[in-house]
Amino acid sequence: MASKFRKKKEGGTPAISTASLPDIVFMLLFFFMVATVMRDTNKLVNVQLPYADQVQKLEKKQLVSNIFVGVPIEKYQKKYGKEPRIQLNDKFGTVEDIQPFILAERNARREELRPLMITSIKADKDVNMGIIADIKEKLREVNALKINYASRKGDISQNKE
Amino acid sequence: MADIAFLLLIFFLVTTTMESMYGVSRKLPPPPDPDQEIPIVKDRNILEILINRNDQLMIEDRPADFSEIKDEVIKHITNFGKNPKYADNPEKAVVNITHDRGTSYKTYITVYNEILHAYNEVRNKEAMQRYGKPFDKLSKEQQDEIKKKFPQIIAEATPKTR
Repeated sequence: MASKFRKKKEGGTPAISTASLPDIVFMLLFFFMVATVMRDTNKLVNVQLPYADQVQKLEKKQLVSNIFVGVPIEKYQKKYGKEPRIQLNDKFGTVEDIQPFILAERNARREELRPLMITSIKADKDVNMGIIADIKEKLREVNALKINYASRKGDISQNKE
Repeated sequence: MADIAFLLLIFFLVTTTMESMYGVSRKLPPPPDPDQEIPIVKDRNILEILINRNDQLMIEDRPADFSEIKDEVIKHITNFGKNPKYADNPEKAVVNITHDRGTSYKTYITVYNEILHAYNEVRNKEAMQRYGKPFDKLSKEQQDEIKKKFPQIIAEATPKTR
């Protein structure tokens, strides 16, 4: 009788079965594979977005075309200088390149999605409005009227520094 | 097996960017039509906001601070003809932003944000009064009704090129 009880106490804690570990890892793997959005463009200009609090979220990424404006990153400063430049996809562009860019973006989308397209202007907080005004003028001319000034969510007083 | 899966998992973990995009949305006016007549807007219906190249602000010909924009815009659009300096009614109220080519982008966004803030506050107040719900919880029709009463008319003067 007594030996029966003693037997149970021996042996310590049994090892946890790791048989289900691959399943868990695979599940996580699939989750991240699906959720991953690969960065499709290389950064050529430095962009520090301004803060704003009356912002809207852009839901459909496939409808958004991005225009980056900022000072070129150090690697390109010798070639392109320290003045703010426009980046369209993977290349530096000028104001003149915006209209072909928008038309190309438009052609890449299905017909029914074209009126819903949004142009997101991702400009550094310290660029001058001159360049932004030029971009807006060009966008107006090609009827790309829906624009979005990309910004970080935060109080506007943070813009002062 | 699990090792390979782990390796892939770590790769995807590192490359994942889960950022979502936020921003101030805006609709540009259509390209100017040469035959279009320029509508004449009474002076009292325009709230003039000027930003110069040194990021200084002027509201209706007087220097002002950024914190004043919201209140001025609210006063302007909810005036209903009481004060002769502000708008006749919300449907006619125009906010006009003029900026220099040298104005910094962050200042422009600050001003724009404050104007939107004012409109959102007015619309929210109206929504609470009419339907007892905040503006973004209303149905599409109810939102349109309020948008019709308080339309966002923000005009932007093109900066002069030198």
